[in-house]
Amino acid sequence: MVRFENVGLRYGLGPEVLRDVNFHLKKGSFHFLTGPSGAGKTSLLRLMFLSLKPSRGNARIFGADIAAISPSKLPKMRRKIGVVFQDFRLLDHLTTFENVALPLRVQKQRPASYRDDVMELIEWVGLGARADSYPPVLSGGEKQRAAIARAVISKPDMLLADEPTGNVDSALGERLLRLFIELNKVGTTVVLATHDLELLNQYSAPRLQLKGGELNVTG
Amino acid sequence: MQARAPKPAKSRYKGRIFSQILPDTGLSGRALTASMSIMCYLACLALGTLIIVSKSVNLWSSNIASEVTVQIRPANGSEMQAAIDKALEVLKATPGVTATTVLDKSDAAELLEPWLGSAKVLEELPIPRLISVEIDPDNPPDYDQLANSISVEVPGGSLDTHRQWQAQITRTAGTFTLSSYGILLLVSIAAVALVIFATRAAMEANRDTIQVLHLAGAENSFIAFQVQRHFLKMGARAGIIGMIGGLASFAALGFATKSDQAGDLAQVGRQLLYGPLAFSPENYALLTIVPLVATLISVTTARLAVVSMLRRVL
Ligand SMILES: Nc1ncnc2c1ncn2[C@@H]1O[C@H](COP(=O)(O)OP(=O)(O)O)[C@@H](O)[C@H]1O
Ligand SMILES: [Mg+2]
Repeated sequence: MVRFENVGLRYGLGPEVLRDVNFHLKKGSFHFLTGPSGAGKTSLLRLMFLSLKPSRGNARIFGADIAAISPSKLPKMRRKIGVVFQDFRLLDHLTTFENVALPLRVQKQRPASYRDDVMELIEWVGLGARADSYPPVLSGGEKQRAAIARAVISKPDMLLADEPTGNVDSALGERLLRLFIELNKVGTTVVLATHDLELLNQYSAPRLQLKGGELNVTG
Repeated sequence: MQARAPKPAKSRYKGRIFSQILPDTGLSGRALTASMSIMCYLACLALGTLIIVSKSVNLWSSNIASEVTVQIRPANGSEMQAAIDKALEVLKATPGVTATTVLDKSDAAELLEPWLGSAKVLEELPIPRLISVEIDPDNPPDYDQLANSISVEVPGGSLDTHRQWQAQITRTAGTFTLSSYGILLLVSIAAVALVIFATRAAMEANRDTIQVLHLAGAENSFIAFQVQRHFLKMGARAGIIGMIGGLASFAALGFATKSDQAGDLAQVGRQLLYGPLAFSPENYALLTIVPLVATLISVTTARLAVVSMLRRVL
């Protein structure tokens, strides 16, 4: 599903943020992506959700070379990937409901066909009372849950979550982790970036460990 | 924060109109609508000028074309009355001539009075005589042949078909028409440029939103459509404002000045709006071209601009 070989990444003319990164994610696998702040977790995820191109090496996703995907194929590929951004990236002028429904809306699905599914998911992440609220009035934890709901609403093949439990208490963090595990069980490939040790200890899964731009796979 | 009671989940969003994916802010600012309205207003004025000029030219031309004049200058050793009779004879024999009127000597004198002074003097002067000839406009005579016959058969006679006047009017009208088209072209180019800048600004203002849409799997065409609808509204609004402004100006032109002389601005303005029923609705229809074209220009320009900008991002 994802295969990186000797991948390097630099921003502009800066130093290499990722160096010689090698790993392979099988379909339906679950991985933690760990490493201290600034290690390059977000950068690695950005490569995987097709928001950056590698500076060198061979990075493939769904069998296609990330550096060479034609712009016309990008939307189809991106629809197979759900992303929870570290900074949420909710659209402030849309309600929670509309934010969560966004991936379906950009696929031009009819609102009648997904209204109930969206509402159900919003209830499930505990935002039922917030469906009509706009992101600026949501708390950090509420935004995070809305962002997670948006990432999973279209049942993506792969879910990339960038520190998705960073703003919630441990009880809710546990619950969100269970959501990711559930999704993984029904076939979604999951990569969960975190430096939350408590969370890491709650589930045993292989870890992609980033340090100084280099990646080690353990477990 | 938790004060609001949750509505029943299933009924919510039934039949609800969703918010626009791109907010209005930064997309259809007042300055943009105002500038666009001004251009539409100018386009209306130019279009109005085109209509006025073409209508007036038609009117004048048809008046002129249905009448020609035979002029007989007193020639040495010839009798004026005999020359007039000869001219009438030639005219009557010509197909396409419907009526002839010989202007009296006093009529002719009256025409010349402003230049030559009192009628008394004129009586002694040999002045040219005029025959006004009415022409069937649908079946006009062969002017060249008629002119030839008159000058050959009538001593001192010549045919004046007013053609040089007609040519001059046509040239003047052509100048007006050309400059009106020029104005329309320039206004359109300015509108295109304005929309391109506005689209750029809009894309810049919504950069984050557009990135999120992209990452959610939106096609460029989907995003372009979202931008386009703002410019559709803006173009239509500006076009209608400009058109109303234009109509109001023509109306003001018609009312504000009381003068009623044929061909002056006030009269022409009135004619454009209400005047001869035969072409008034058509004029309104022509002016609605302005909002239509404004909308078309802003939508297509915005779309092309967005698509070309989106091609440059990953
Ligand atoms: N857009 C960017 N431009 C330049 N440098 C960046 C950019 N994003 C991240 N970096 C740099 O790349 C390194 C890794 O950052 P990041 O991937 O965000 O790490 P993490 O998510 O693990 O905290 C950091 O040194 C950061 O300063
Ligand atoms: Mg990060």
